[in-house]
Amino acid sequence: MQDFDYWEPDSLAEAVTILSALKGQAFPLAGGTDLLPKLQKGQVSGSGVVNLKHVPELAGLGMERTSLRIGALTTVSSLLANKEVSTYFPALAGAARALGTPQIRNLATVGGNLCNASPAADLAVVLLAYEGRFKLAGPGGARTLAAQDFFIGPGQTALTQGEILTAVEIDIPPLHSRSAFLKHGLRKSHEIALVNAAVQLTLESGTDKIAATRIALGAVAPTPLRVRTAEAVLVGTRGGSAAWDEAAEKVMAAVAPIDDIRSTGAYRRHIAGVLTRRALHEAWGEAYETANHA
Amino acid sequence: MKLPITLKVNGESYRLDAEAKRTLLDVLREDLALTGTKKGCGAGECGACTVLMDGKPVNSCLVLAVDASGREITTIEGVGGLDGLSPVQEALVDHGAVQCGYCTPGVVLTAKALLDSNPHPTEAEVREGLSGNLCRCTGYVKIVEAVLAVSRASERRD
Amino acid sequence: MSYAIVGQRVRRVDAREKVSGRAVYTGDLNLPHMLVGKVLRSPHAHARILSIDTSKARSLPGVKAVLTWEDTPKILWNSAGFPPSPGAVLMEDQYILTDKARYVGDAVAAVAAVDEDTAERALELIEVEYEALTPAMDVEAAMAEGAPLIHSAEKNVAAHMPVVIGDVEEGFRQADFVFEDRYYVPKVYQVTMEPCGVAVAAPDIDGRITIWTSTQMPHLVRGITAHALGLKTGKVRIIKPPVGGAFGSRLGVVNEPVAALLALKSGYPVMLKYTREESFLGTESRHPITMVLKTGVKKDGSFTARQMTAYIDGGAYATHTPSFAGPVAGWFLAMYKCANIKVDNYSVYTNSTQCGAFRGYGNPQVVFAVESQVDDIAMALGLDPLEIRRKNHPCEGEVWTWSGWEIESCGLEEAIERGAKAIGWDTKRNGQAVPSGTKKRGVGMGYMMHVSGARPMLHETSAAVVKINEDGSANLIFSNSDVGQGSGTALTQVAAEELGLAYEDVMITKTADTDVAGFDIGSHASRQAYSGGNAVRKAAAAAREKLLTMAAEILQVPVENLTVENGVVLTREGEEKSISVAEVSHKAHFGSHGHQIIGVASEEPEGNPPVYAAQFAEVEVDTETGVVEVLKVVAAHDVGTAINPTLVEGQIQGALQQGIGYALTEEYRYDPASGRPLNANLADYKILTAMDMPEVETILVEASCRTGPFGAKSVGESGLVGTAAAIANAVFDATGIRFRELPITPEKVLAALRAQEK
Repeated sequence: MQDFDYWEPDSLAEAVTILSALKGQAFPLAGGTDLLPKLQKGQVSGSGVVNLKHVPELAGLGMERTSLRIGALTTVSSLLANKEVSTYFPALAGAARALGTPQIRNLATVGGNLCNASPAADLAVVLLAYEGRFKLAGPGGARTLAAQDFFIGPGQTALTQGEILTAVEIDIPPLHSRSAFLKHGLRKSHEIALVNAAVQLTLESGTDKIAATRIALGAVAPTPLRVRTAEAVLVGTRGGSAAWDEAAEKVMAAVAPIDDIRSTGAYRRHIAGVLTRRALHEAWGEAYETANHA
Repeated sequence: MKLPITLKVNGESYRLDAEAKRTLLDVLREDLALTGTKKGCGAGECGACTVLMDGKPVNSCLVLAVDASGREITTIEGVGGLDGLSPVQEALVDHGAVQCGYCTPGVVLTAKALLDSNPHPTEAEVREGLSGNLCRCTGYVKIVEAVLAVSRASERRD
Repeated sequence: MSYAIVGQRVRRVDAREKVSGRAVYTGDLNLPHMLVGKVLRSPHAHARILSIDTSKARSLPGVKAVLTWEDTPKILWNSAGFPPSPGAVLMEDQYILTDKARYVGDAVAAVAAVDEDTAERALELIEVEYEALTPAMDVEAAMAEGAPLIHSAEKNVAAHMPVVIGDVEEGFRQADFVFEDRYYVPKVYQVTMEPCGVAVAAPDIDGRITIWTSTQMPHLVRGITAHALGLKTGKVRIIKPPVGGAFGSRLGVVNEPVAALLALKSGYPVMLKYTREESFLGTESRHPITMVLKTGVKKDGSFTARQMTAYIDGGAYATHTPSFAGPVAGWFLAMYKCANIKVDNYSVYTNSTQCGAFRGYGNPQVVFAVESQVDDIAMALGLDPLEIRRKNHPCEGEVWTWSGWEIESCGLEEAIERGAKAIGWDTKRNGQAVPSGTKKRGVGMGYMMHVSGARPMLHETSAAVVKINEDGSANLIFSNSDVGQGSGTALTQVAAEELGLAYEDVMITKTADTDVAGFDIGSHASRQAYSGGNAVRKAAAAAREKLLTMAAEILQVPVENLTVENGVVLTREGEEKSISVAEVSHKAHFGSHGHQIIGVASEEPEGNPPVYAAQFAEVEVDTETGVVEVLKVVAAHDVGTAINPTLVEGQIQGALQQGIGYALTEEYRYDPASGRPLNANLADYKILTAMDMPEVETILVEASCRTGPFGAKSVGESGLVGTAAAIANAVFDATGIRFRELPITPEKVLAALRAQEK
């Protein structure tokens, strides 16, 4: 393994300056759970590592009025331990719990999982369903991107040279909403998803009518995928297995999964449908409870 | 690029110079001769190299030594020795939960952290807690029994 | 029969050093001036090596040795750890470094340098010119007309071994029904947590070389390594520290010869430690086998003819394979009684990493096929699957075809009965009625028999020395091949029991050293408790006899009247006369006699008693995803006397994790076109985590045998032999679908369910 230069900026401005100056030749380091094996196996080459752990602007996890701000350095295990996350964002808690292993969750960060831009990233699919706002800072200043605009391709994001993901914000879902996250792999732990899915359903108060829905899937396309065609068929309906089937059909039509060592594309497509149905069913049950018995 | 590093391991401070690329695992084993921490894959996929960083189990092969500077590191050498084993270690011995022993240091540290944060876990919580420590000898059966036994024993003392 | 120490759940002799991280494994060693060794591996599955230029690597500062085929002794050898024996077919077809690349990962060159970075850099500087050849990645491709030859064997068939008993054609004529099915089991990998392939070799000034290595068989590795290096056996000393799991992967030499050659050429100690990926790429795994089974049965479920044709994918070098074909036939022959049996085994070279030993040694493969078909036969005949097994398996007093010897003891009936009860066979089994619903449950079982050693095919020599110290404690000197299974503890119990000493007062040599301990075959064929145990018991008995003779003299009583219990020699009638072992031993050392009481034994055991198991699985099949979840496994095993029930349970429980993986998740895969491994890592090669293991219930049936130490037989391998069959049969019970190929992945299940709907 080649040695590299090492920087440890302690402010956002410094981090941006260093990354900009290195012109893509250095890797930002957060949790390191993806980067270190790649460096060791020589799968990536660069001249340096910029450790972002000491950048205070990237830290923090907490409510800011009606939204949750997740600093990019937030570890997956601290998401899991957070009360607001488990109360308002059960799909996020579910995805955090499904990610890696306990040891990896203690290291891996939200920012790393997102910037790594794996099409199978567990947190990405959930933040897509929660319509996360990705806060970026770079040489040209700060900007905000919608989740779906952040992911461009496998391993590719909208980050420009020297730009850093600082935080993701997600709004507390409306009343009578419920979300669910499901992951399919061969094991119950320690898995990269064959397919993962996150949904959110919002019911009209006091009814069983679906006011809004969001459906997102991972590992079925070059990027985590929001499937608006499937969402559209559910709005205004009262849910139920026929509705879930119809949404699942739309999902299966929208996805474009590949064959790889872990699965065939055909199986992924099928599982995308199953997970959609099951996640909708799960979210529906809980949403119905809140809409009608709260 | 060599960097000055101060590592706090098992309550002792070590000052050394290490190249930026070196992992905490390699520095522990090679520079500090703390070979109880094992290398099973070097990619965070097996858990044999688990150490505690600020009390939490992490794969030391996924941590740069320089990045561990200033953190409290606990390795297996810091948990029970000549003057007595820790409760988790005693339970693993008593329950026959040790075979080849290669995953064992990692299991001890993971189980210790689990019980420190959740003294009375359910069986499912124990299995989830240990799911990052691969073991090829025991089928995990006696390991899980041992961890639950520690919980029961401390319940009696509570 | 109950004993003082045998049968007790004593703590392992090595548990405390392991839980405290104090156990020093081979990879933890550090010698003065120790170099780091690295191996350059072929990126091609099949290629001629046209030239190798090592000049740049040699001139890199810090590089102490760069070796290629040119530097290796021109001695062909075979890595398999077999003693010269009737059943060992040792085809010698490899050099320490190869002159032709036969798989991705084949060792082409090796370097030793002052540190890892320099060694890696040196590898990068070696320039190899290859001429790529077409690879043959499975037996069909390798045996096809015009297939490229991997060695010189015609059609790449290294060996063909037919076995015939009676006349199968006549047997098929007598049958009411004939079943013929094809089965396939994949390559699976042992995945020891300590990656396979770690050795330190240190030359000395007297022309000897010492090798610390993570091995199952110190003495046999000594012999093979010496042969490969062109040295006399005695010039090599093997030391075996604690081993981080083996399961067959270290059954023979792994990287000792190349480590030794680097050390001899450089003049320094060399640590050669494979990475996880290298251990996948470059070390032996379980044989994939295609098996065609043809079975003739009468309406009453008795067998008239049994036939198996097996195509064994041995990979790029012969190693174990031609010998391995013997037990593969043996497992098939011995499972069920039948007058007419025929086995045809083909050992085939392919361009994958060579295959070798993995817990069960062909038995899990054969049992999956046989027990799947027997379930189908029972179903077709309307028989209870338990009944057809009870009816046809050979039992105590009958001839065991594996060895040709009489079966000493058989606890299978009890295992079936207790196992069936524990799984809820009568209430949970669907039988002919496949359940409806999205999630379908079913139960199934598989039976197996296994060996306690490899006699009469292979020699099973063991040696032990027991010396009683002046304080009444004792040392057991044994070539301790404990690789995690706990044999060192079990042998200590045997010695303590025989000596009449407390367990804590007997200390075994934890580290094996071929300069110290007598010749022992090592850990293979589940032999340690039986073969090793017999030698240890004999050595202890010899020491005990000397002890009692001397005590009789001191106490002035006939020696026949004396016994020894818990460190005290006493008269049988009562406690009227007694003397401590310490006192006798002290008098021996320092009294007028002036000698130490020492017992020695070196021998082969008399027999090879089979062990039996009935394993039961309950599964739930998710018909939307195809996922098979194992809810519970009951493993009822006849092990003979359980010397330490905790250790025995541990063996079975750990083996089940491997058996369930074999059934459902594990498969080491290659790209068929390039021969490149696809999942040589622990993310994509899926062994079960703690969350994936189902509820496990172990049942010990102790059908003690006459020839074992205190009646012990074996347990090491058997725990996974029947597991895949039990799971496949449970999946059939749940879905009505028969899977004849492992692993039973969700994709395969889903595809079969869709086909079933149509």
